[in-house]
Amino acid sequence: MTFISVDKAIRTIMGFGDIPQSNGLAYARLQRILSATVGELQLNVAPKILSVIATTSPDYTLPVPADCAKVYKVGRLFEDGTIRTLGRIKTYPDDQTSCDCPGCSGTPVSGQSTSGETATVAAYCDACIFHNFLFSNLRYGELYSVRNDHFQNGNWSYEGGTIKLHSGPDVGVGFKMVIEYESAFNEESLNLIDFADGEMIRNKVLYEFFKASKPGLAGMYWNDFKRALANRNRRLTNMPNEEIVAAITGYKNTP
Amino acid sequence: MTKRELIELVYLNLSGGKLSSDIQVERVDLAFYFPVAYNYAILQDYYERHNLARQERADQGFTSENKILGSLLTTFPVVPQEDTARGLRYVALPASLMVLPGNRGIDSLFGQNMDSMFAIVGGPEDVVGLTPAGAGFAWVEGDRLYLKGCDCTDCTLFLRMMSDGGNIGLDDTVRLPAGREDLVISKMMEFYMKNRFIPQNIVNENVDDAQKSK
Repeated sequence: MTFISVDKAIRTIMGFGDIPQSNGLAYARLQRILSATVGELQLNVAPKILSVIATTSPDYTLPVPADCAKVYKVGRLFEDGTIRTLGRIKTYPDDQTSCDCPGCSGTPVSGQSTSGETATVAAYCDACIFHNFLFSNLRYGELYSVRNDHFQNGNWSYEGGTIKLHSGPDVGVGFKMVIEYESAFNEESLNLIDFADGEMIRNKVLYEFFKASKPGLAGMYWNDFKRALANRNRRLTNMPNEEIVAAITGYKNTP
Repeated sequence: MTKRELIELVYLNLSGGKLSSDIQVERVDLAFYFPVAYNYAILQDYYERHNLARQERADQGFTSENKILGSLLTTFPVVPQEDTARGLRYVALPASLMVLPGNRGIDSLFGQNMDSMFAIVGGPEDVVGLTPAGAGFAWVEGDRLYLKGCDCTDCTLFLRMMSDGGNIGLDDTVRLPAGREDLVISKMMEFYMKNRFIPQNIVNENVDDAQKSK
């Protein structure tokens, strides 16, 4: 799966609809329509789990996104795009599982990865996947990072609404970190949109945008939307099972 | 053409083609009125370009016309500051803004990554409930440009905007679309022509220089 950001999606729609890029009001209205459209077409399930980049502050804490409901993973981001996860310090009772990431079995699984630098590592855990985070089209929509079983590189804990970082070489002021979290708001979790759905979403949004002012033009966008929808349905029937599961759950274990 | 040259032209024209101390309008008066004439000329040009763009869009479905000429815009580096009372960040406008219809005076606001720009909207009510998707949203309030979605206070942003005519210094080049210089001159002439022969009251006698010399 390849994703594009909401910002890029809106800019693209403005380009297709000949709406000037400088028109901020049109941008805001398109974002509202896009948000509603993606919600109504029920395409916003996957992006409920988001990743953001944050910078370590001088007191070794990370800012938590405003819509964060639960933190899943924290890792250091290196300049070449690789991520090294940090261990989590237990702040939960012993009778709970040590990993609350959805789909995590708690045990490492034999790994396949498209990432060259991690190819020599024997074991991966699905808990080490950062969802919806893409640096280049060489990777498969999700980045894999090496699991360090001992997490000597550092640890983190989520206390009082703040992520606190604990000693290790990957803990340092100014280091870029990636936080994977569950967003509290479905509609606003539209950080990334599946590129394959782009044509369908674009035509639906332009139809809604021009419906009142240019009904004739909107009719053409409606026809294009129906065609894109039919194409998508045809594509879905040919989609491998793991792709469908990934589209619903937002993550997958094998690339 | 500089502002001084423009004023000199108008002054020369008002005094009948020959510089004279007999004229009741001074150069400094012309300088005061200059921003009014300049802003008027820009607004006329804005409407003309807007209509041209509309026509092109109707004919071809696409327009090459910008609403504002790029050469009239200035890019200023600005640093966001915190408005603690409102919990928002803002940048102070570095020059007084040319207020044009549809917020056209502010062209764009962006950081060093030009692939992500702020969307300029009318006010906070336009983006209520919206989480910024790109760089964020921005709107003008007085002499400030408020930002929604800006995370930094010590970073440098770049504001591309259209300055009001009052910001043009005496020896600055007056950047105007071709042919609009004439409109500025005409507006200034039109305003001061009626003042040209007003008698000046030098002392309390209500007599002008011409009467006194007799």
